[in-house]
Amino acid sequence: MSSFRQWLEDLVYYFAYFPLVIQIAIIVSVLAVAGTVLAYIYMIIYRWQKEKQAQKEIPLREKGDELLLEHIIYKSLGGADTPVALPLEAFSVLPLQKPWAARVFISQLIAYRDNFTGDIPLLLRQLYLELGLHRAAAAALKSGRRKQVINALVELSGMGVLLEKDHVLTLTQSSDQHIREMARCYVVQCSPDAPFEFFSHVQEPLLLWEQFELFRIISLRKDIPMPSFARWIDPQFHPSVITLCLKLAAYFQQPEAIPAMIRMLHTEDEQLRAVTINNLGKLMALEAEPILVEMYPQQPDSCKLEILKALGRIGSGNFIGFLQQQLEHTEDFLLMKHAAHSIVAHKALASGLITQLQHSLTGTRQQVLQHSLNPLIKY
Amino acid sequence: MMYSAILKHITDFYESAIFVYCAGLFLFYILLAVLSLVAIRRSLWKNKIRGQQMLVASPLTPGISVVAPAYNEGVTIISNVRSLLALNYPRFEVVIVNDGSKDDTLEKLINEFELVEISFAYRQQIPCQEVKRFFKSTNPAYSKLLVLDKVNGKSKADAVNAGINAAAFDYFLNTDVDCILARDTLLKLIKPFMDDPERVIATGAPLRAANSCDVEAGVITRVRVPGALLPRFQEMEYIRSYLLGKMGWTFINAVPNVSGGLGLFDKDIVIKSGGYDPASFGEDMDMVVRMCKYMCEQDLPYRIHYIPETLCWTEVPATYKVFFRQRIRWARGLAQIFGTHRKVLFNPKYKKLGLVIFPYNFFFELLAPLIEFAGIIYYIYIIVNHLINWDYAIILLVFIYTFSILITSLSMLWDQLIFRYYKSWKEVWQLCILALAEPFIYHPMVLICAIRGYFNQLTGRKHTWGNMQRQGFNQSSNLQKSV
Repeated sequence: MSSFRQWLEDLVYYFAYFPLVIQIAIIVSVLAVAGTVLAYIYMIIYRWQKEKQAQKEIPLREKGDELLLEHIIYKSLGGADTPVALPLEAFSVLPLQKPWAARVFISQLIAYRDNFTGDIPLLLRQLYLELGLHRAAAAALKSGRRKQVINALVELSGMGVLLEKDHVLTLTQSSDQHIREMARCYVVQCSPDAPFEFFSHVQEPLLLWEQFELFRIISLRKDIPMPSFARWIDPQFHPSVITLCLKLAAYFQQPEAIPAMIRMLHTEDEQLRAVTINNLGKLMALEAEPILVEMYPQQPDSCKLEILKALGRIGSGNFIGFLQQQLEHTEDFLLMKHAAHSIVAHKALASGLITQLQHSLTGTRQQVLQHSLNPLIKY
Repeated sequence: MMYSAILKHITDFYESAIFVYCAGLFLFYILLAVLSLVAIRRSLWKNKIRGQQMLVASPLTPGISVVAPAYNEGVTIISNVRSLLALNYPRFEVVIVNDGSKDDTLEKLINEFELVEISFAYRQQIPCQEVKRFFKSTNPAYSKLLVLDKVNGKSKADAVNAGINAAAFDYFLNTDVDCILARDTLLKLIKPFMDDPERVIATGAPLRAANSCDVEAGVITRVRVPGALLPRFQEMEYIRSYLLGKMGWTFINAVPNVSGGLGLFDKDIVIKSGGYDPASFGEDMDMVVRMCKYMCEQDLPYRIHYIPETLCWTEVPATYKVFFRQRIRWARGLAQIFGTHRKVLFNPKYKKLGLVIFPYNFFFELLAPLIEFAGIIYYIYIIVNHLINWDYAIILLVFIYTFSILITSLSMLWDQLIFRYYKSWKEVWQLCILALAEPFIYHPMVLICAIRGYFNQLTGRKHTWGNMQRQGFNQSSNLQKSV
């Protein structure tokens, strides 16, 4: 032990005389030991803090659940027509003046809102407002700090509360992608009058994720009449907005969007054209069938595939011969497969043809038809 | 006199070069540690603000084919397939590829899942051995299941290729049938594909050892640190490699590899890149390299993501024999990749792949064992010839030792800061303490395997794949009774 100490003392004493390499090695070693010790100390403190925090939150969550169940959930389940008075004094037992407690309770409110339908989400929203829990989020919204703004948008969106409408509308044009995205979702979710206005001003693409989120929010909004999405199915708008509106028009079965969709078939953007064809199929646009068949030979494979799918979805039977021709003559396996699927999708209209094809087709084409006919094969 | 002067110059140069090499490697590790922490925090924050449950209900959610090859997995196949079928995702299929098993794997599948042979429109887009039969279940509860029975291709790559050929969807998950996946695996892995303005071609997530975990009906119910020493070392290595390495690389979009145990891929790009190479010993890294090459050659921007949450638990080798065989194969695979794709190295045409990923892997992965081995020989030489300066030698060894412990400790810290999978302190310490022993016990084994792998690759020695010899998981007592 004493020789080791002596060695260390020598090391310190002669440090200045060591070659540079050895000096660096010594410094790095000391830093590494210090870093390791710090890492473990931090690990201990952090884990302990988290455990302590969890222990602190558990009783609050239990009490919060108890109060919400007793005063909101059970009462609103009792009678549909009975208005539920919010017993704010009952919730005064929660230490909501403390930020951590307010944060925990708000997360509970959001979770309950996500898991219930009907009047309960509205009551939870009212409770949130009457307890004044929205004030911190409202302040954060204007704080100018990125994370705070986003967290506030997520919270207010989760609670369905629209605050600072004009300010939020400016946030939908923010240069920060996440702020912009959250603000758009927030406006679509909460705006009572013009939730879709920003569609007209979109300059940056809506990411696929954002399209999904907007689609979900819009499909769940029952409190406003849906606009005609054909308005945005126009080349003057951003392609990602057109894509979303094509999907929405099909989802809400808006046949008035069909002429706008047909006009979009001339777009240069192959991906957008394919989405347009796909949604014409979902709208069962009978008038689009001859146009699709006519444009088929000039199209790239992705659009050809969508045309075949669309003809199957529309299923009028007017172009079943075209599908038969594709099945019998195309060399492309995917086109062959979708031609077969679309023939089968014609159901009774194609029963005679299917019997005939079962006898006349051979090899891969026969196998493809059998594949499409097999009810066990789902995809 | 002149001879000794030349020798002195050579040794001085060698020592300085090695020091610079070590310093460069350590700098990279520190950089990766910092980048990984930023990437992990960013990923978790995104998760916080964007829920994933909307994907479950959305009609727009893209479909995923889960491709899992099975070779002689009769003992565990039923519970493993049930676990895959129970994944939480609205639109997916499970494609089990029975790769010519010699045991009762296929019979068990047929009986348990009420399978019948069907006529299936199969197109071989990427090469693989012949698929003899296709099976679907007559029970609607298992309508997502498709079983392929193929001629054994002597590699996982061949079986995965067959699965990809039969896959119905645009994305496929490559996994092993014995892996235990978290229920939300598909939801979490698909997110980066939709969340990036650039085309994402693959995503991966960390794997951990399932060896001592509690498993019930194919689901991990309690994560535990492996009891045996060898799997425990591997657990520590996995945490370091994924949390400190891959997450750091994710930050700069330079992920070198998506593990064969768990990865979600863009099927179109995989097919256009030629699929998995059955002749490759490191087929997962080879696949990623070829995908990146394809994107660069087509001048298409792309990204590969890693997410920090552990989504897959796999049984790691518990015996030295299996461990050595696996690591020799991995080392051989790495050497093989540099032989196959040698034109990528330092080639600006391949952007980050050629200028970052390949150079890093060449100098600090491929050459590291050779340099280390040469260093050991050199140490022995100078000891034998009494040329060693013991003080300096000890200082340099301490330098390397303390730094390796720091890196492992940081990865453990990141794990604890963010996930805390292990319930008890005891488990955390079991892993932390292991960092002290790793340079003396585990690392030499890895070094020997690497040298052996390179030697086998150089000499073209035939590789025997062998069997994993699974020991099974800690099943709950009730389940054991019912089984």
